[in-house]
Amino acid sequence: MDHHGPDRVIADVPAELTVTWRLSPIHVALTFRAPHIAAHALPGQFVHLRVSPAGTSPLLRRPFSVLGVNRAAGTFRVLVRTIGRGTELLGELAPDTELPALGPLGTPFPRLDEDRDIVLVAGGVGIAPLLFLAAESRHKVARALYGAGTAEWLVLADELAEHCAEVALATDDGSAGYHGPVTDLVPASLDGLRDPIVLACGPRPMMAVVVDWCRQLGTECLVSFEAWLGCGLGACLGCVIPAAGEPRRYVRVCHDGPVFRADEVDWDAL
Amino acid sequence: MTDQTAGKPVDTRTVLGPLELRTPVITASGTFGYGQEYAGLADFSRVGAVTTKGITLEPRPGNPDPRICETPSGMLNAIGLENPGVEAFVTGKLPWLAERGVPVIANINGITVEEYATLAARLDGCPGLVAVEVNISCPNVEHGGMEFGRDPTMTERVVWAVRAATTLPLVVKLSPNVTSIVDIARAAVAGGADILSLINTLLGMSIDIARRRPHIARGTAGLSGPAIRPVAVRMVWEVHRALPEAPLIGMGGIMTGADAIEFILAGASAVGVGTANFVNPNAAGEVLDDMIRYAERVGAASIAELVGALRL
Repeated sequence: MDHHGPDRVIADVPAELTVTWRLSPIHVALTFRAPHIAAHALPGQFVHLRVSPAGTSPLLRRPFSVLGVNRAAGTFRVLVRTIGRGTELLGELAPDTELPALGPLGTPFPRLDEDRDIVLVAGGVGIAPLLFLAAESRHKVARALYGAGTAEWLVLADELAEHCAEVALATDDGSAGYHGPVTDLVPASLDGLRDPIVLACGPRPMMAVVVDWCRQLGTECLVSFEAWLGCGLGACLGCVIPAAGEPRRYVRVCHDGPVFRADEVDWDAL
Repeated sequence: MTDQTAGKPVDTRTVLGPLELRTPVITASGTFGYGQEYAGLADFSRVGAVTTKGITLEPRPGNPDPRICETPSGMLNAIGLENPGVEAFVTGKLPWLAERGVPVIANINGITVEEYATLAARLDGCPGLVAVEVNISCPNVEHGGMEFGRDPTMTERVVWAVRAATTLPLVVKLSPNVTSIVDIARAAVAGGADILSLINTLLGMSIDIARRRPHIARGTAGLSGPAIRPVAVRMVWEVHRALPEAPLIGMGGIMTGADAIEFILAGASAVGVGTANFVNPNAAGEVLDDMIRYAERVGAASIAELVGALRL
C-alpha cells in the first residue's frame, strides 16, 4: 500500500517521557510529549525511538506502533513489551527523559468506508495500532477479538471495549475468555455483519491464520507487520517481507507497510 | 586557535586525486538509499557526496528475510544487493539527487569483469555523477562481489576493465575480509584506481540459540557499526603507510566527528558515514560540524591539513 505523497511529514524530534504506566510485569505504556508526532500520526503508523541517545548499545532505534495521541496535550503513547535490552531500558526510563523520536513513519490504515463493519483481531502487543484505529474511527468498531498468552497480558482490554461494540478475549492458558488461539474466533465473528473488513495485528503465524480464514470466507483483510528495522525510512532494505506474485520481490515493512492488504504478501514464503 | 586562522571558517574542501568535494563527509553505499529517503531529514549541503545503494546491470530482488540484526555496538546485514538495475537507477533514482546539486558516487557491482565495465560505461556522462565506486567487497552475494576483492589479480583485472570504460574518477571499495589489505590496495592502484574506499563490512554471524538458527536468513552477513571501527582505522593506516599517494575514503563505524578525525589522522582524505545514518538521519552533517569544531580547537585552517597527521 502506498499513501506516501508530498505531505510526508517525517521529522526527528525530541520526545519527552511524561508517564510510564506499568500494565503487567512485562508491559508498559509510555506517554511522550512530542507535538509533531501527536499532530501527524495516523493509526497504523509508528515511531522509531533511539533508546540510547548517548551510546552505541543498543545501537539501532526501536520501532513502536503509535497506541494513541492526545493532540491537545501534544502527546503520544506506545505500548512496550519487554523482549530484550532495548525494551528493558525503555521500561526503566526516568520521567522527563528525552529520546529522539523519528516519525510518524510508515503507511497508515486506509480510511475505512462507513458502510462496512470493522472487525479487529489483535494478538499480544498487536493491540497497539488497532486500539489507536478504534479510538480514531468515525464509526464504532463492530467486533474486536483480542488474544494473549495469559489473562494479565491482555493489557488495555478495557480501553478496547470503550471503542468497540463487542469484544471477545482469548488466552492460551484459559485464564480469561476463550481457551485457545484467538484465531478460532474469527469465522463466527464475521456472522451477521455488513460487508465486514478484518484488520489484524499480531505474531506472523497468527496473522497467517486470520488471512487464511478471510480468504476462505471471502472477507477483505488488512494486516500490520512487526519487523526488525534499520533506518525506518525505506533506505536500508533490512526489514523486507516477500511480496505476493512472480518473480520474487520484497516489500519494506517500514515504508511500503507496516499495513498491507493480505493479498500483497506471499504468506507461504514468510 | 592561531592568529592566522582566527575568525576564518575552517576550509572543508577535500581533494581526492581527480575528485574535489566540498566537504570530506560522504554517505556510505547501502546506508542512504538513493538520497530521497532522507529528504527533509538530512542536510544535503553538508555532504561531500552521496554514495548510492549498490547497483547491478539487471534488477535484483535481494536476499530472503530476515536480513538484519543488532549485535554489540553494531549490526549484521545481508541485503543481497536488492536494487532496480542500472537503467531504473539512471532514469528513476539519480535525477532526484542531480536536480538538487548533490554530488553522487554510484556504487557498482558485477558478477563478471564485463558486467562491471558495462555498468561503468552506462554511467559515464550521467548528470550528477562525480565518481564510480567499484564494489569488489560485497560479502552477501553468491557470485562476484567479494570474490574479486579477495584476489589481487582479479582486483587488478576488474579495475583495469572499469578504468577503460569510464572517464569518471574511479573509487575502489576494499574488503576487510582479506589477509593483506595492502596487497589488494596495491592491485587496485595498479589497475587504475584513483581513490580507495575502505572498509566494507566484516563477515560475521549471529545465532538465535532458542531457535538454533542464524539470526540472518543467509547465515553469514556483513558486520558494521562502531564495533568494527578500530579494525577500519588500522586498515586505513596500513594502506596509507604503504601507499601514501593514494587518496583514501575511510569508513567503518563512524558515529561522531571524533570518530571521523581518527580516520583523517590515520591517512584518509575523506570519510564515509554509514550505519550511523540509520540511527541519526542527519549523522553526516553532524559529523562534519564536529570535525570543524575539532579543527578550530587544534588551530587547523582546513581539514585537509590533518590528513595523515598522526604522531608516532
